[in-house]
Parts: sequence; C-alpha cells; structure tokens
Amino acid sequence: MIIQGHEIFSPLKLKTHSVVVGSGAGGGVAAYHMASAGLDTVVLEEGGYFQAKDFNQREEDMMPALYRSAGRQMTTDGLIYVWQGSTFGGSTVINTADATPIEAEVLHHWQQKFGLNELTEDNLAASYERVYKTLNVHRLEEKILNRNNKVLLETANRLGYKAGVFNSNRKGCIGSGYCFQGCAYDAKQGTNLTYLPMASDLGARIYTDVRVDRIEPISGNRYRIHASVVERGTRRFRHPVEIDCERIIMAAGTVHTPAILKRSGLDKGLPQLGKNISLQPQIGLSATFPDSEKMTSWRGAPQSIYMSEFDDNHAEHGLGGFRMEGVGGMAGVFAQFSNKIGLDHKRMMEQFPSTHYSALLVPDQPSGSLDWEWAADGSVKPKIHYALTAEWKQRFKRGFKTAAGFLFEAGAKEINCNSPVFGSITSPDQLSRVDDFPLEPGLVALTSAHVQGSCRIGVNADQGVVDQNLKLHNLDNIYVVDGSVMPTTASTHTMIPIMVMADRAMHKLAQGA
Amino acid sequence: MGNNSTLPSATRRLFLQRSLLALGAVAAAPAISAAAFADTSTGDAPALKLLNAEDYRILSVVTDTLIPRDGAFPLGALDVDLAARIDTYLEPEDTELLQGLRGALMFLEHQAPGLIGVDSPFSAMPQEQRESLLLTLRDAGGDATAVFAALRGISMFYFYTDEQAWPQFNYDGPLVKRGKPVYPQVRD
Ligand SMILES: Cc1cc2nc3c(=O)[nH]c(=O)nc-3n(C[C@H](O)[C@H](O)[C@H](O)COP(=O)(O)OP(=O)(O)OC[C@H]3O[C@@H](n4cnc5c(N)ncnc54)[C@H](O)[C@@H]3O)c2cc1C
Ligand code: SF4
Repeated sequence: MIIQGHEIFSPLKLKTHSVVVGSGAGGGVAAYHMASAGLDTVVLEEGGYFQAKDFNQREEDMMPALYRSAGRQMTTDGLIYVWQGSTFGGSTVINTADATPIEAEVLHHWQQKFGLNELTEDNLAASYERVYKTLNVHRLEEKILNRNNKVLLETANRLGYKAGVFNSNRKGCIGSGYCFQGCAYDAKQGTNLTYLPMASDLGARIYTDVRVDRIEPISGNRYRIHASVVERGTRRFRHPVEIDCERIIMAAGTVHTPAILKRSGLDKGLPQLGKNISLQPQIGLSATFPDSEKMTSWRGAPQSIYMSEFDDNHAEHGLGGFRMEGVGGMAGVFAQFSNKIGLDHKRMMEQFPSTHYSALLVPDQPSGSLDWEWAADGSVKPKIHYALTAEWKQRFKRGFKTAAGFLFEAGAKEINCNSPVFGSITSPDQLSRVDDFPLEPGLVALTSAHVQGSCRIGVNADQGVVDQNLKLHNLDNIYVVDGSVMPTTASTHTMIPIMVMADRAMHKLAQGA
Repeated sequence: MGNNSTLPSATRRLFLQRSLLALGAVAAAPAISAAAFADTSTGDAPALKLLNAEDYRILSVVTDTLIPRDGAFPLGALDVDLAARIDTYLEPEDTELLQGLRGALMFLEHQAPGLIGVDSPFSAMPQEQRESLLLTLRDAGGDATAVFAALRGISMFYFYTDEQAWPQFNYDGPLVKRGKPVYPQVRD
C-alpha cells in the first residue's frame, strides 16, 4: 500500500516491526526483504510519489520535483553540485540506469586496508544474482545506443583503447533520452517499479511525503521514530508522526542518514559518523563536430558507453585514474557549458545536434565530511565539506587533456566544459592551457552523482559506523543500507553496489541469520 | 569596488554559486547601498510572481545582452520574455535564491559599470558596451565573475529549456508533451 502525504489529515501514530527510512536503492531492497520475511514493515520517504505519467522530460520541472533541493545541493564552498534523488524510489528514479558491480580491486582494497574479509566476490555472488534478476540487468541493446555515445567506442577501437557498452537495468526502453528526468515509459527499473511495489504487494505500507526527523530509544529495546508529514514541493511541516518499532533500517542516503542519527544523539561512540565522504567528482565536456556529424545527444540511452583505458584500479587504493562516459538529455544544463555569451554563444548552440557531450569521471579518495543544522520544524540543512586534493587536481588535469585529445582524435573542432570562464580549446596544441584550469568555486561547476561514505563499514566502532552486516556498532537493531556505508567509492556507478550490499545484509537478516 | 574581498565569507561563498541551479546566493553585498536593495516595485510589471518591477526590468536587459536577437538564429531572450519565465520558476521558500538574484542584479546595475569607468547604470548602456562589461566581469575574477556566472547560468538554462527556443537550435525536444507535475493541494 502506498499512502501519500496529502492523504494524511491528522497526526499519525503507528506500531510496526520494521521501519525503513528512505525508498531509494538501499531502502527499496530492505523494504522488500523485510516484507518478504513476513514482518510488518513501514517505509517512510520524504519525497513525493510520482509516476511515469508525471514525468514530462523537462529539466526545469523535473529537477525541482525529483532532486534534493531541486538539484542545487552543493558542497559548502560552492564547487561541486551533489545530485541526489528525493522521491519515491530515490536516486534510482533519476539515474541513467548504468549497472556496474563493485570492482574486484575495490573489494581487495577494503580487505587489505579495512580488514573487511566478509565482503568477497564469492560472498556477494548470490546477491548479484538476485539484484540483477529483479532489475533485469543486461547489456544495452544496440538500437538505443546513440551516435553521441558510439563516437567514444569507435574512437577507442581505432586507438586501441579499452571501451565498452554498459549493462543496464531497463525493460522495454525506447531510448527517449530523458533518464535524468525520470522515465516516462516505466522502462528504467528503479526501486519505484521493482522492490517497492514488490514490498507493497507483500503488505509493506509505504508513506511518501513523510520525513523522519529523529529516533528515540524507548524501553524494551524498541525505538520510537519521530517524523513529519510534509507538503509536497515546499516540504513544509503538516502533521507529526510517531511510530514505535523494533527495527530501523536507515536508507536516507549518504547525506541524510547520518544527520538523523546525529540529531537523535545516536552518534555516541561512533567517531567516524559523518566522515570519509567520497564524491567521485566529474566535469561535463562538450565537443563540437562538423555539421555533417549528427550526435543527437538527447535521443537514445543518455549514458551507454564508457572509455576506460585510463582506469587505474588497484588493491592499494581502490578506484583511480579517470574515464569518459557519454551523457545527454539536459539541454538546459549543457547550454551553460563554455564561457561564451551573445552571438558567439548562439553560434555554438546552433550546432547542438552535432555537439557531443560526455562526462570526465575522476574517482577520489574519501576526504570530505558532513555536518548539519536543523531548523525549528525539524528540517535539516546539510553542510558538505569537501576539498579537492592536490593529487586529484593533477589527475583531473591529466584526464582533461587526455579526454580533449581523444575528442580531437574523434574529429571534434572545438571543446568546451562546464566552466563559465575557461575558453574553448580549438586545437590539440592548446591543451597545455589545461595546466591553468581554474579549479575554483564559481569558476567551474563539477558534479557528483555518487556521494558515498559518512557511515562506512568498519570492523569496529573506531574504524566504522556499521559492521559487515550493516548493523550499527553501538546499537542493536538499527541498520544502514545506503551509499553511506561504502568505505571508499565502490564502482564507477553506485546503484548496484548499494543494492548488492543491502541485499546481502537484509537477506541474512530476513533469514534470521 | 575591489573584486575579491568586499563580501563577508559566508555571503561570498553563496555568491560563488553560479547558475540558478546553484544561485543560492547573496543576501547583500556591503558595497551595494541599502537604497539599491529597497523594493522598488511599482506594480508596473504585470503578472510577476516574486520579482519586483525593477528586478524584472534589469533582468530583461541582462538576458537581452546574453541572448540577443538575430545572429545564428532570430529568437532572443526578449522574444520569450525570459525574465518573466525565470520569475515563474522562483519559489517563495527560496529566499536565499531570490536575494542572491537581487544582489547580482543590483551589483551589475549599480556597481559593475564603475569597473570600466562608466557612470550610467548597466541597463542604460548600449548593447555592445553591456556585452563588453559582462566579458570584463567574466575575466575579472572574484565576486565580479561570480555575478557573471550566476546571471549567465540562470539565463541560459531557462532560455534553452523554453520550447520556443528548441527549433532555433535544431532540438526537437521531449517526446511527451505535458505540463509540469501538479502537486496535490492540501488544506489542513
Ligand atoms: C543524476 C544521477 C545519475 C545517476 N546515475 C547512475 C547510474 O547510471 N548508475 C548507477 O549505478 N548509479 C547512478 N547514480 C547513483 C545511484 O542512483 C545512487 O548512488 C543510489 O541510488 C543511492 O542510493 P541510496 O539508497 O544511498 O539513496 P537514494 O537512492 O538517493 O535514496 C535516498 C532516499 O531517502 C530519502 N530521504 C532522505 N532523508 C529522508 C528522511 N529524513 N526521511 C525519509 N526519507 C528521507 C530521499 O528523499 C531519497 O528518496 C546516479 C545518481 C544520480 C543523482
Ligand atoms: S532512455 Fe529509456 S530508460 Fe531512459 S527515460 Fe527514455 S525510455 Fe526511459
């Protein structure tokens, strides 16, 4: 059963066995496992309930509806947008449905550096199988690959570079191109179409427009959740909610899960809470090709092909290097690329169909931290502190030069990026300008779609917030199953890693193991 | 005004956020007089949601400078009334955003012309001079660049997401034709 906030007209008090906080990648999986074990389960989701019929494929409308802070959430210095979904289905509704596993080198890194010996490929294999089946993960079909992405593969093949087509969690995708705005065809298999309806069919009650504010331990090893029904859109407080339960599964995402624990005073003895944030920052690049080379970046699967020649994944450091991936379906965001204005900018935009867009992804080491302020109505204002390291900046510049050189090799005439001050590069002999790239707030807009850390797994409370079964180190019966548990960035894309880790822990819990 | 040091750090940080997707911005730059921030709404500009008439007037000139008529395609910001479109997307809860936008407009109108030794307000300058002032801000660094980036970001975003603009840049746009999602209205 799905109950939307506007269907609640007075304060609400409930009793249940398990409460899942958040309905995204981790929350969806948890809700399903709890419900399938026959446990009375309530899911609380702060965002609104939207369906395919609501998605109009327009950035200016869908970002305010589906993204946290309308897509305006940033690091405190204003350098990096931190994109997260906030809706029924969480970020799985707005993602580009690329399905990548936790890299083997990352698991080795976690074993070596953090002693996480239970998180082996063998131990995760059954979870992969279950998750892949539920999400219909398969290699993207040829017919929805667009030229914008294929140009990466063709150029890589010519240069002898590694590249490939993504696996994806879609079913019946028509290649509309607007994954970032929610799928209007119910093709993208997010938790909104998979785990949450499955949980609902098994009896779970899913409340949308209900924000969890804090958790109060009460007698008999039980908890009381204090929450608020909020107005859709404005998120203004409407009614209080109290739910008594035995078990809480936190899945409010990397930024909000630790906020709730902190506000509840449950962070005592958890020195790592709110620390070890990775963002995996990326920059958007555009490359104008001759008129005859139509890229049509907005049609077809937006992100279907990667060029991974410069991945540098090792047990010593996990993910490293840099990679390129095609991207599309955001004309408004892309119009901000370059430093041009006036007639020059119009000339550039006229070439939109023959302009290629890609993201340069540069994995980072966990180096950020969070803190929060709360308003009187219980809403939270997160502060994401994050500084680029010197090593990352070097790697970014090397990646930028390599990507730009690669795009010239592909036939590009001019390369721009999401910086309002960095001028176009029009030939390979200008690449040395990248050495002076302005990695400063206001001078470039980096983006993160993969915020992780903040409640990382560790073998004890000094090392991490949760154990390898994702249970809080300091309390019984509270689990964390979202992106916050990743000790370092798990993969180039984080949905599958989160779901697989959640599946392993929740399946065990549901089996009473 | 010096370009790099006139705003308190918290305000400046917000100032640095550069498009509407991030123009979470400036409450008030101390270098800008309180009078300049006064609500100068006369009610002249019809059907505005949150901008006042003066904000709207200056923003219209800014958008016209950034996206003028003609050139590669005829349509310009004034043809779609871009300032009014931006106004429809501002939300009353976004007080920081609104203040930031106002701060940026006031800076541009009253302070920025001084950077190139011009006495008249930005909106009274001829098109070429306005464009050249914006480019000066772009290259100046500090708060000036932040204002440039913020106004440029908001203008480009809302112009190129306007369906009237799509044929102009050879974009055939979304496959579904529907309005924005309607949020259920509740009266408690
Ligand atoms: C634009 C974008 C594109 C992406 N593309 C890909 C991709 O192609 N492939 C991939 O693998 N990954 C991708 N990702 C990343 C992936 O989708 C996320 O990492 C993943 O969904 C995160 O899962 P999660 O459970 O941590 O949180 P989320 O899925 O973000 O869900 C958290 C939910 O908790 C809710 N919540 C927060 N606070 C509260 C509260 N107090 N009370 C109640 N509810 C609350 C939120 O509203 C939200 O709905 C993308 C992400 C974004 C933003
Ligand atoms: S590209 Fe496919 S999955 Fe993405 S929105 Fe379009 S139909 Fe849905």
